[in-house]
Amino acid sequence: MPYVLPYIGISKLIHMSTEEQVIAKILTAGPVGIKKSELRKSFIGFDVEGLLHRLVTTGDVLIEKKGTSYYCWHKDHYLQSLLNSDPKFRLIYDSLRSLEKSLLNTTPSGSKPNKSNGPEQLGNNPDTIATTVVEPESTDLAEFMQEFDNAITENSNSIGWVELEKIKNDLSSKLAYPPEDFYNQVKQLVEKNTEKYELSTGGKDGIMIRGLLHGFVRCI
Amino acid sequence: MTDSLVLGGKRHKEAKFAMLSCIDDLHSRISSGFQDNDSRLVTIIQDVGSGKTHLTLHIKGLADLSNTSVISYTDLSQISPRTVQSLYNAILAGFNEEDILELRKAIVYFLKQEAEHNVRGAKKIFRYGIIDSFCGRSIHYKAQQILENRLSPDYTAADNLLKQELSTIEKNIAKAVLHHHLRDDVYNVETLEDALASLSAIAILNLKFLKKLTVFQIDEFDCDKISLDVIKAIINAHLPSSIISLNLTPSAYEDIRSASASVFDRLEKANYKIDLAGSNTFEEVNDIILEYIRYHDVGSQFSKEDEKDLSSKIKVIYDEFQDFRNVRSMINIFYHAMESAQKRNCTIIDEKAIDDTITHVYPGLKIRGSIMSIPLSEFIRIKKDCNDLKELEDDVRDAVRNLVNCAHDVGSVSELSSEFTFREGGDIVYSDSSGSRVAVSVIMSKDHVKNFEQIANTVKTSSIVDKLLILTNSYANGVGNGATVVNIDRSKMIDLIYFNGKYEKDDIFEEDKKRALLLARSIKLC
Repeated sequence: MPYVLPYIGISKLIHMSTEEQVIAKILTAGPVGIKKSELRKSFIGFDVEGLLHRLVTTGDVLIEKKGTSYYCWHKDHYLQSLLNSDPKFRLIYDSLRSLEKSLLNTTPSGSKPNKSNGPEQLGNNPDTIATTVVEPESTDLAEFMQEFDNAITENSNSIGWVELEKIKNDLSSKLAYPPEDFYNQVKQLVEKNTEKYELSTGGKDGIMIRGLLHGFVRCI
Repeated sequence: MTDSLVLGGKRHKEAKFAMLSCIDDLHSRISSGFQDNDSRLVTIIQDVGSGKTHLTLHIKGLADLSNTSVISYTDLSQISPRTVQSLYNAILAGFNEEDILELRKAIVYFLKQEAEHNVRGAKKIFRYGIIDSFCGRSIHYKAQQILENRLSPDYTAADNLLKQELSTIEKNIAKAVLHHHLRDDVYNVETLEDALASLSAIAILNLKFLKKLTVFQIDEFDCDKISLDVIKAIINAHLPSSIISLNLTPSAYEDIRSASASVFDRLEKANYKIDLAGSNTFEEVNDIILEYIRYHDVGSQFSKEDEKDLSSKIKVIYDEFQDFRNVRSMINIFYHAMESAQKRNCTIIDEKAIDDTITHVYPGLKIRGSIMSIPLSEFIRIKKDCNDLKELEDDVRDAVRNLVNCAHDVGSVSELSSEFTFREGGDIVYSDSSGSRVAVSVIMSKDHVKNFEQIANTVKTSSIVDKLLILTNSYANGVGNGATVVNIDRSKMIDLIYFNGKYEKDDIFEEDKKRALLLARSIKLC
C-alpha cells in the first residue's frame, strides 16, 4: 500500500493545521474570548473538545462560563479579560503593581525605575483598554530618596552633616533635576521620614522652618 | 539652673553618660598617679534648640560630679567685645562660688597644717601669737575665723610660705582666692600667654588642693577670630588635668572649617564627639516633656494613663506642625499650656490649654489643610477618638449625610432620597444639580483588601444610579463603571466630623456654610 503512507502523512498535516487554526482563532479573539460553540461550528468534524481539554491541561487556553455559554481565552489574553471585567481583581492587581514598582525603586541593583508618569498599557494587544496609572508622587519621592541618601553618604563630613546646597548641585548635575523642585522634595522627604533625617540651621540655601533657614541635613 | 536639673530623652541621657564617662576616665587616670598634664577635648555639635546648653548645664549641676570636678561654664555669645581678657574673665566668672570657697578652704587648711607642723612663718599667716596660746585658742580656731571672714590672714606671710610650694602664677591665684578676689586676676593678664598660664595654674591648684579635674565648658563656639585663637591655644596648651568641652552648631562647625583649618582639624580629632542625633524625634521630645512632670511629681500622682493622655496630645502637635518639631519649641508650647491650665485651676494640660497657647503665642497658626478651620483643641479631641475605624465610618457617613443636607440648603443639590436606599447600611442617595442620581458609599476599614472587596461589590450594583461616589480610606483607582473613588485621609475625616458636630448642634453660621460647601466639593459631593 504505497499510497497509504503519504495519505496518512497528508492527513496528519491537515490535522495539525486545524489544531493550529483553532489556537489561532482563540488567539485572535483577544481578551473578549470566543464561545466554545462558535469554535465547534467553525471546525465541524474536528475534535474541538479534545483539543481544548489538552490545551487547558497545558495551560495554553483557559475556559470560563459566562452567563449560559462557555468562553475560551488564550493565556496571553486571559489576564486582560479579567482586568476588564472584574473590578476587584483590577484593584488588587493595581496595588500589587504599585508595590512591585516601589520595591524596584529601592533595590540597589541600579535598575532604572520607570520614569514615565503616564498610564502604563497592559498586554500587547492594540485593543487593550485597561490601564494602570502610576502614582507619580510616591515613585518620584522614592527615587529621590535613594539619590538623596547616596549624596549624603558621599558628601557628609566626619559628623554626618552635609550642606543642602551641595546635594542640590550634585543631584542637579547627575539627574538633570530641576533645582526649584529640589527643596520641595527635600521638605516632603524630611516630613515623611522624621526618624531618618534631621535638619540644622545655617548655610546659604535651604528650607525655611520656624523662620530660620535650615541648610544642613544628615541621616540620623 | 533649677530647670537644668531635669534631663529627659534617651539620646540626651546617653550623651550625659558619655560625658560622665570621659570625666571618670580622666579622674581615675590622674588619681592612679598618671601624668597630671593629661587633658581631653569634647565636642557637642547639634542644631539650635536641640538641648546642648541644657545638657551642659545639667552636667555642671550634677551633685555626683562635685567630688571629682570643678566646672566653669562660659557662653561666648554673651561676651562682647571679645578680647583675651574678656574671655578669661568670663571663664573665671563661670566657676561656681561654692567651688571657689571650697578651694579657699583647702588652701587655708593647707596653711593650717603647715602652721601645726611649725613650719617657719606659718603661724604668722593666722596672726597666731602668745595671747592666742594663753587663751587656749588653736590654729584650727584661727583658721575657722579666716574662713568665716572674721579674721583677715597675713598675706605677706602667706606669700612667703606659698612661694615655696607653688609657682609665681599659682601663688598669685591662690592669694586671690584667699582674698575672695579671684576675678581680679584678669588685671594680671595682658596676653594670651598670660591667660593660658593662669588657666593652667587654676587647674593645678584644683588638682593639688581638691584632687579634682577642671572642666572648661565653652558654649556657642563660633568662628570669631579671637575665640578661635583662644580656644586653639587652650587646646594646644594641654592644660593639666583638664577637659575642654565645646558646644557648637553644624553651621558653626562648617564656618570654622573655612576660617581655620588648624582649629577644625583639632575639633575633628576631639577625644569625645558627643552626638545628639535624633534629639528632635517625637520619642525624644515626648520623653523630655514628660520628664519635667515626673521630676516635680511629688506623691507619684502622674499615672501611666496621664502619661499616655499627654503623649497623645504631644503627638498631635508634633505631627501637625512641622515647625514645632524641635525640643525648644515643644517645651515652650507645653510650658505655656501648663501655665494656662494652672490659671484655670485645671489639674491636667487639657486641649483648651493647648488651644489657648497656640492662639496667644502663635496666633497665625492653623491646622494644615483644614477647610472648616478647625481649632486645635477640637482637632486634638476628635483625633484622639479616631481609633475605631468602624465607628469612624458611621460618623463619616452621618457627616456626609448632613453635608448633603447643608448643600441642599444652599441649593447645590436636591434633597436626600429617603425612600430609595442604595444598599443596606444607610448609604446616601441624592440628585445633583444636573438631576443625576448620585449614590455615596462610605467604606472604611483597617483591612484594605476587605475595602477593595466592598468597593468592587458596590460598583457591581451601581447600575441603579447615575453616579457612584465611594469615600474610602484605601487608595484605589481605576474601578471603572462611572464610579469615583475619593480617598479621604484622617485630616479630612476630622474636618467632616467637626462639621457634623457643629451641624447637629445647629451651630452653623454663614461663614461655616461656605466652608461646608467647599468641603462638599473637596470630596466631590457637588
